[in-house]
Amino acid sequence: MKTARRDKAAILWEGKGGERESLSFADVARLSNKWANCLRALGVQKGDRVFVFLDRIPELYAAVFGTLKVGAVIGPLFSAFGPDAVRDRLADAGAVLLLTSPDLWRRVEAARADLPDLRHVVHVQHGRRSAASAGILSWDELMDAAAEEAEIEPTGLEDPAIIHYTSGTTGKPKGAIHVHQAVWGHYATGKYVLDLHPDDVYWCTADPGWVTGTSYGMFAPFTNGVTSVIYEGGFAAGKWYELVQRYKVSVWYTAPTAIRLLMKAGDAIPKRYDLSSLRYTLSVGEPLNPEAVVWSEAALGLPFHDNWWQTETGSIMIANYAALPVKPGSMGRPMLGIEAAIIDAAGEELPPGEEGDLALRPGWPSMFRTYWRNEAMYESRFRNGWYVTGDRARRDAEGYFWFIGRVDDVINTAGHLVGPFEVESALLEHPAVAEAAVIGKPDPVAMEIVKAFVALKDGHEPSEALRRQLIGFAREKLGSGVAPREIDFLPSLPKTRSGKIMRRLLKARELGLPEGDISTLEED
Amino acid sequence: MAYETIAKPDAASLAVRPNLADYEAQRATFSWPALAQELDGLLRQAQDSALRQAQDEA
Repeated sequence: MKTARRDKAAILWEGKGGERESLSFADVARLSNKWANCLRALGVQKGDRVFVFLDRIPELYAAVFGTLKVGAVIGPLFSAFGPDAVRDRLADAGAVLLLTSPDLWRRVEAARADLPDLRHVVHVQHGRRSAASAGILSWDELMDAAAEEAEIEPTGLEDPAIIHYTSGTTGKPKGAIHVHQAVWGHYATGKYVLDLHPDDVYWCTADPGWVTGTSYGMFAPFTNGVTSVIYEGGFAAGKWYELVQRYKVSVWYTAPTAIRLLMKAGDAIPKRYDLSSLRYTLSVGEPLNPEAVVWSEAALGLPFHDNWWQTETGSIMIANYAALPVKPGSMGRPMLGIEAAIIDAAGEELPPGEEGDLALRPGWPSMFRTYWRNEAMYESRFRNGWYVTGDRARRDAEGYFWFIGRVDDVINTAGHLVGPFEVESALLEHPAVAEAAVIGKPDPVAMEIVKAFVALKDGHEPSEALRRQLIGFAREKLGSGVAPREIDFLPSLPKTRSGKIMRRLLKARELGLPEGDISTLEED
Repeated sequence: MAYETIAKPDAASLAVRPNLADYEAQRATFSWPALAQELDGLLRQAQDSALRQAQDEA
């Protein structure tokens, strides 16, 4: 190990209030060692489930690494979750310990009576000491008593390491289990997809409550020895550009929703900042519309490189790369060591150009090993030796994959299968449209018709004239069989907290059906 | 609408040479066990990540 790396900044942290701190790799090692010793003192053992429910403060990162050091399974929770979402996840996982802040705990503490496995609740606050109280332990008091050296629990490749609950686009959230071998995928994709180099300053805007925020907000940069920017606050276009400028971010990994909001904010804002440090920009979360790729190249001087993966895959599976041409709107090509295919209902591989189910050959290191206590659901995801992702896609002759839609979202209209993504992308090309989502609405003649929900950019107002104009615009681009027959205007579209548009919620509301699990719904 | 493919300059001409400079060639020779060797055989993620950075030559 190099002395230079010991003292190198691992985390450049900026708080909501503008506070700034730098933690070296040695700092993170020391804090995580101490947290590991705290857990041992509390009786936490290998395989136990430990959850963190915190804002993006430095203690969160030390706690994740420290939990893994004792061989426990870490479950990160998004800090905007409400009490039902937290209770459901802790109860399902049988969590034995929760690390949270006093403010967040107040939001969910009523759930404790429903959590018989939860032996310990620990409070932490960044920048000030937390106090112990009845049934509550103090991070500071525990850490004060903990040694700085820790014995690392021996673990094998297949020992569980992380439990991530999927967003629950269908049914209740499910706990995807990832094992310690997953780090191979985090490291490899950090190197080959994120193209991390030792001198990079890297900013992954995702929260660790989502798989992107752990795989690529923690493990990929740490294994590659790269400095990460961590910003505690939320989205604001000017603030984000300011952070890129201040920390000289060179590699920026964000999400389509944020990119669309940057687009909405306009081209003038980035011109106020020095963004010359940026050399590589990437996106994940849901398919990135081609217009966003083209916009970023014009406005930022760099195209956002889309990539595709899921909570279940644990790391990036298909990507656009720094040295390969980018086809705007494409997911890109498979990562090294990943076999991806388009298969039919029998699990047979389809030739280029044909639409089918996107599937992956099992065996990559970061693949989930099961859904927690739901083996039957896990087994249902395989067909003829393939892991079936639940996404529809096609592959072109050059090996690029193109997303069509979630299997559940694909619209069957008059015998034609229509992918929402294609229609949404066309609508987004209209200058008045900020966001678009498309569903299939039952129709006695066509089986389903294409219905779109649209949020407008500032300066545009809903009107019947604009509705007709948008339908005509889409027909010109897509043809009348694919273009939306109906368009509703909404102030904004419902999204998960990780930024995915909740088409199923729009559909449920449209049809007057139960809304189902909305624990991940982002609140405006 | 069809969007034009965004071409990239030759990898060798970039200020930072991409780690994946030759997709076809590197894909043909890639193996997960070989990749794992780069991690010095370390199998645990957090502790190994932090320790890898933190331990000095001594």
